[in-house]
Amino acid sequence: MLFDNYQPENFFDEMFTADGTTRPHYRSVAAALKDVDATEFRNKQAAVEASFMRGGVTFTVYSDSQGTERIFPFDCVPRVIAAEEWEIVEKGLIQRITALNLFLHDIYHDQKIIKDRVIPPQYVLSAKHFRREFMHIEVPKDIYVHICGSDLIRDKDGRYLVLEDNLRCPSGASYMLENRAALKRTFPELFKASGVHSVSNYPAELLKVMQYCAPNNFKSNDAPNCVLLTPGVYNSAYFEHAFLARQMGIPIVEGRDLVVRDFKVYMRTTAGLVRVDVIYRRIDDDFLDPSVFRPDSLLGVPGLVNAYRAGNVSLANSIGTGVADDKVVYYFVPHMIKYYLGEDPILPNVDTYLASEPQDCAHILANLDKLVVKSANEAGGYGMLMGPWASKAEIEEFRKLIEENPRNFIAQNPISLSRHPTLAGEQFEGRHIDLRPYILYGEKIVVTPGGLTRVALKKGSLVVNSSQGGGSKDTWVLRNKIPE
Amino acid sequence: MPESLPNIPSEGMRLRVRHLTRFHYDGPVLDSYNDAKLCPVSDPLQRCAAYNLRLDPDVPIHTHHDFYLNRVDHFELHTQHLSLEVESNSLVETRLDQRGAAPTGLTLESLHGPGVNENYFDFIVESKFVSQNVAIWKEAVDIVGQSVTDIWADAVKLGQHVHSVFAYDPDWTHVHTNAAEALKDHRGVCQDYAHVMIALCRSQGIPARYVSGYFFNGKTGDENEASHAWMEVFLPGYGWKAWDPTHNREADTRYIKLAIGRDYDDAKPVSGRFRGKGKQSLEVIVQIRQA
Repeated sequence: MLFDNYQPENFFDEMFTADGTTRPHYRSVAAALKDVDATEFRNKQAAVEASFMRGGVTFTVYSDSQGTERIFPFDCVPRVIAAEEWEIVEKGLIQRITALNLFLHDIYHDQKIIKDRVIPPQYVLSAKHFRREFMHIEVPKDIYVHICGSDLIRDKDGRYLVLEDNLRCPSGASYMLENRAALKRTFPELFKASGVHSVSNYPAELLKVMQYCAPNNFKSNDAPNCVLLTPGVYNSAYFEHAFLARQMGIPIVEGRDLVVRDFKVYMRTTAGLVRVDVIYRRIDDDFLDPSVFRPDSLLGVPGLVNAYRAGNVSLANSIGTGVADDKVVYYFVPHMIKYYLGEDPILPNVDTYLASEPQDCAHILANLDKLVVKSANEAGGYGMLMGPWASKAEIEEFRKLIEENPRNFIAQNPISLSRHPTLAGEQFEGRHIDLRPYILYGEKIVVTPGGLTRVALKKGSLVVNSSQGGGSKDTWVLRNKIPE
Repeated sequence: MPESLPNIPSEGMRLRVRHLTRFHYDGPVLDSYNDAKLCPVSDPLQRCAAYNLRLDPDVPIHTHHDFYLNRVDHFELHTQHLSLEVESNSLVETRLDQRGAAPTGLTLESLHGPGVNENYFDFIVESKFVSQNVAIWKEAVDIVGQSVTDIWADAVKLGQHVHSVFAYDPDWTHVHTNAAEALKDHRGVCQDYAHVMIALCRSQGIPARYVSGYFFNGKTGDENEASHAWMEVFLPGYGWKAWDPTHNREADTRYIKLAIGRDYDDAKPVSGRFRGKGKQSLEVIVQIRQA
């Protein structure tokens, strides 16, 4: 019924092969959905969305006059990842985070990778989020990226590619957990006999990571005191901050709740000052400490950076990790993997051109109508030119921007993202998706078996960002291999 | 400072420096976070034999090294106070430059030579006080021509140019004046001379960095007359070589280097932030004696 007119067309479809056969790892889902009719399916979907709204599972779109709280639209068809595919994804992510973490340690210490000319110095030093102030600071266990959300996509052959890394404050883990809970409530029968990995451990694993990374000076038999530092209720991801703090059972604090005395961090409580050992901070570097970074920040905690430097408090993630989010630095991640680990990357990058390299730049400017151009330090789908779909005026505008500041732009060949059956009106249609898995780096690196699948709900659209009309799906990783 | 001793010393010197910075606030302030970059550098041209930092109120000092390997003494005052004194006392031995004269004929290509390991990227791009504009570029091109043929000789020409068109005027500029503003008015103090010369050099692709320090002028008065700023140019195969555009000459053994950076902002001797309504007034005394 819902699948009656479904066409994979000329894309890689997650559920069906080109000739319309259901892929083995989707068989149980397909069978369960076979007899559901559109009205029932839509009603259930509406019920989920209403419960998200009531429960405050929302985010805020900035600079939108209608502004206010919105839910992340939810599509009830789960995205399923086969066990053998996941094995590769997991290995690839662990390899990538290991290399990125070594890179961060290196550039904030000896800068060997620059001296060995693997990455030209200007690309690191000109990165917007490279923090000179953070140079030579020792961080507990040498871990910089405790929480990472790298965005993966699949191309027309179904190959997994890394689109970007999010090493600062990746968000969305709460939606991963809420989506799972919602789908369990609405379609419990889907889970029967599917053998899906649980994702509910995420908050517990995150807390373990924080405790593992207690400051070097921490000496106590009790568990270290952990808090979550939020910019406050007006932040777009405040729901997530509150959700994760509650799940982990740790206090959620704002900058004004913390105070630094003698290079130690304390939380103001009704019972006086209480020492804080580890901070899961959801505030960007710029706003973290007005005595070191932006002096006009009211969100941060004055003195925090020097308390960190003194080894009296830990931050997750560490400072300065955003340098690796820079899309020009992204270009060099495969080189980092080779340089630090001596391995070939398991998960390749999307082929990228750097506008700051004269040869690449000429190619970009000559092919603006065929390429996707991105600015090096924007996220959320902003600051992007989708060449093939752009107007003449937009293309000319980007031409000017690129010529003015080539360092700030990269270009990629448009990837025809994989598609997934998604409810559209009365039936399922293919919609483009990506995947954001969550990687936690503590005693060992753990990739939560699942993640956030984002789906571009508009027909033909390739932009999956929540701020640009994207929705999400529950993401399943299967425990067992399914025979062909 | 513009005055100078008539003779360039022919040997190293032993110099004792006292640098006192006194802040007064007309209302109580608290939560004050401060960085001092007051410890003389030890390198082939000078040795810091002794260094001591005194604070009043007395609070613990945490020391680290910044991105440019300047020593930073960090201290914080959390309780209310009406004044703050930061006094450094150091003993420095300066030495003659044993490297000999600067190499001639270095072109910009030599900066990319295979043996060049210096990471000078920060010193050829814009920085907070050294931004670039067409006026700066044009001013430099009028002096050195379309391309740099000899890094050191051309840098010196730019420095001589700054010296010849600038008027030393301590009342004209302030600590937040940038290179472009100073160049427009052709006036300023040593900090502005250095910023403008650095801007001119960078506009032509010559790596140039800012130096904060002291200049021993032989006077014995109490006033703040010894704090100084100059600049250095990177010469492949040779290293960084100093030029003082305020005095229109190479730095010699009367110069004591405290910190380097892209511009003044990286090398401020004392900087800090505090909370409170009090207005701040500042008194600085720098005394240098031959030891």
